[in-house]
Amino acid sequence: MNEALLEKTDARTRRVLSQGEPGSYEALIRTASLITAEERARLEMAGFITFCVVGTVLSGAIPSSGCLDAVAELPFVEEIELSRPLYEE
Amino acid sequence: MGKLDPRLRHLAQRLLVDRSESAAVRALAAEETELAEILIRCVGSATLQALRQQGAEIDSVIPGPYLAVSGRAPFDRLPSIAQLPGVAEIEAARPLVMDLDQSLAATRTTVLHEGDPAVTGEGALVAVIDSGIDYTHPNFRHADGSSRIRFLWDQRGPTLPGGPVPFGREYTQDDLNEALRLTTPHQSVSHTDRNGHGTHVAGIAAGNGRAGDTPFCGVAPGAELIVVAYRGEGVTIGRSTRALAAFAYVVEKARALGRPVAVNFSQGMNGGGHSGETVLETGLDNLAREPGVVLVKSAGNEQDWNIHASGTVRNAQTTAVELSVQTNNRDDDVVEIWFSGEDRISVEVETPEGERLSPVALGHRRDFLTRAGNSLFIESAVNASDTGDTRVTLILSLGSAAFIQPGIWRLHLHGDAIRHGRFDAWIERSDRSVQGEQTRFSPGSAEPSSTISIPGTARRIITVGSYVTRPADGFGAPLGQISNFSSRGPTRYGVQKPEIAAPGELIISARSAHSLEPQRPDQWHTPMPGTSMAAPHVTGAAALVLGVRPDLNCEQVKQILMRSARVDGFASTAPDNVWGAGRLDCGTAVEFARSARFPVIGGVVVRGKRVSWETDIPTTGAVRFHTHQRQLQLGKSLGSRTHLTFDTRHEVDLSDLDPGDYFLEILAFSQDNWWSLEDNQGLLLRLHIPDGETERAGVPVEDEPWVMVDGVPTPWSP
Repeated sequence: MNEALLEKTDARTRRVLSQGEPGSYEALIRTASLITAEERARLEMAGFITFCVVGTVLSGAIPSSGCLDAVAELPFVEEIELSRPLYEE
Repeated sequence: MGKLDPRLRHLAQRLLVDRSESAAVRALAAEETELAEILIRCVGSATLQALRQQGAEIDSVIPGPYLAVSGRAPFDRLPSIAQLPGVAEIEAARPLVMDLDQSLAATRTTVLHEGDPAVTGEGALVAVIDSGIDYTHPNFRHADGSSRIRFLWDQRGPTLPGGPVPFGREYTQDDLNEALRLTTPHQSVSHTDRNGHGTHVAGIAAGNGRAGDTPFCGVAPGAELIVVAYRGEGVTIGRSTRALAAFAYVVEKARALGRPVAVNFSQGMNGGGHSGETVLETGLDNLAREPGVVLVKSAGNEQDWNIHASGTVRNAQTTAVELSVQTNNRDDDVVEIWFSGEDRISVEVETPEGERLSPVALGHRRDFLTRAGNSLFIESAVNASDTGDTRVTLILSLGSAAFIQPGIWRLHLHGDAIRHGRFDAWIERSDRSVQGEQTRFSPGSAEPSSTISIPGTARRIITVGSYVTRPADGFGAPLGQISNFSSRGPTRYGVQKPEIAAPGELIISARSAHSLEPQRPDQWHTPMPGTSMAAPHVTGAAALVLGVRPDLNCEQVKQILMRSARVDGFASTAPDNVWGAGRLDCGTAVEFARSARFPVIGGVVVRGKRVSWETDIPTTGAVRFHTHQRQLQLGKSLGSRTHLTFDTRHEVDLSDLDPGDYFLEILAFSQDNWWSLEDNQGLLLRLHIPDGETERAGVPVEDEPWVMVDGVPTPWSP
């Protein structure tokens, strides 16, 4: 887990990562401003598989924690939040 | 006669001609008399006297902006009563055969369905993101048996490579119709709703009442549907990443169809700062800017669970917050404590045995292992989610023990350097199907405010509380009262939530044939309680509004629903953080929607210390400001400056502000009090107030003026 990932994730996200379960992760990413095509390409090169883009927020999947490090290092990425469970009400 | 509802109008007219309508009269009559049981909306005590003079017998009067009168009146006097100037509307009592349509009567939806022309949401879409839908249920099919569902995205279905969705399977209306023509439709479209929650919610919002002998109709029976079915895992219904993908999908589909859409989201979680700052809420607020898109969320059922604590920490003093851990608790407990970035607070944990772990100071993190073998991770993170506030996260887990130590865990908050001192804390949801799994704050520490579940604290979306229209067998709140479980606001930044309340206890709606929900009153229907049931009433209402005004955005529909809300009976305390603006009133909402005109803000110029703008109609205005961009985006301001003269040209002087950089947003209020917001597409406007030294040194202080061009600040010259 690199410095960028420490800075851009919260404790809950890092707790899940520290448990080191194999497999991919799903995450929401917040960017500083509307993502450009070039930035989107850089995200995909880092391994991010985009489900959708909604303004400054992307939802997608990351195949490994190593790819998460690469995503976190991208300067336009402000925050990474691993997917959280929702409950019916 | 226009004030009479259609049934009464029909019978009153027929009675003038032929009294052999006695069978129909008896259906609406009180006992064996020819008195009609009616509800009247009127104004003025003089009207009550006039009603009595017309032979009406009054049982009860509920005060409010309008009086709601229940009683009886002779059938042949109904036309005269309708002509009384103080009478606005006369509605027939509804048969109480199965109590199925209490909520439609309570929300004044039936007057729309039975109006001339009827308002049923035709032209709008209702989207339901949930456990799925029983697409074979008659309530989601036209009279010819074809489907009312335009698209169904089953996120848990087998992924079609190269298909239109990133995972799972999309079914079009044609796919569903093809399946419905088969004797066993699920051999073609295998999607089922085994949970039943999604089917029930969809039925409330948009069921057309075709099922069974005692039809229950949804709020927007004329709307078509888009459904997204999650893949639930255990007791959870879905996940935040897939929720956002679902929202984006339904909006994309609605745009492609050229139709407005009201989206229902009856789920939530407790983790986060409850100020709309989570990434999911940021995404939803982005989406809610679009015209023709309305997002509606349940407030949450957290009110009885003691999941929120708050208080004040004083300088050099300690405040303790108590967590009550039950036996048999094995899952991680996650607690978040939030406070101002201008305060320095360290957190020290004391176990039920009295073991005190070292304090964790601001900006630090640490792992602990307790004597009982539990693990505890504490992290104090400054500027959490760019809010400028601090979030202390505690994750309590088994460690080497078989369960988390039961008893009272104390969180000692030390005021190392305090400017404000206020803190809020929340406990994330656990699996409540397992006895003892959900940790809570002790009654002495718990605070009943700010229990709205996330993403319900997002600024733009419409969050809905629940009230009782059908009491649940002696438990819970009485008829007409807010449900005991209905979560309350405000957000951590003081923004009022919920926006409105709707019926959520008990609601009878469509039952999924594949669920285990009881068949009550028949195979097609089942009762459920929850803010999950309240939200789709508002989603359906939004569809009714969008059906007559497809141009409106979420904040505009929100204003219409809130302004039209009723504040009668128990809701007379509204507006507040329990009821929001009051009880949903669909009839009045559609009436307001037809004529509401929202001002358009343009020509924004920031020059030096002044902000000017124009509006298309005369408005007053206000500029709200903050030095912190994210906090203003989330609705918190340091103050505002107003322009109180109705005009189309406005200017506000901000030179009295302290030197510094400010972020701004502009509000414009019409003479009818409809408002619009200009915030540079969420990025806010910027203004710099130079300090006095700079001015005295002769350095030019007037910034180059700039204007908004297509949402981008651009240098301006005359």
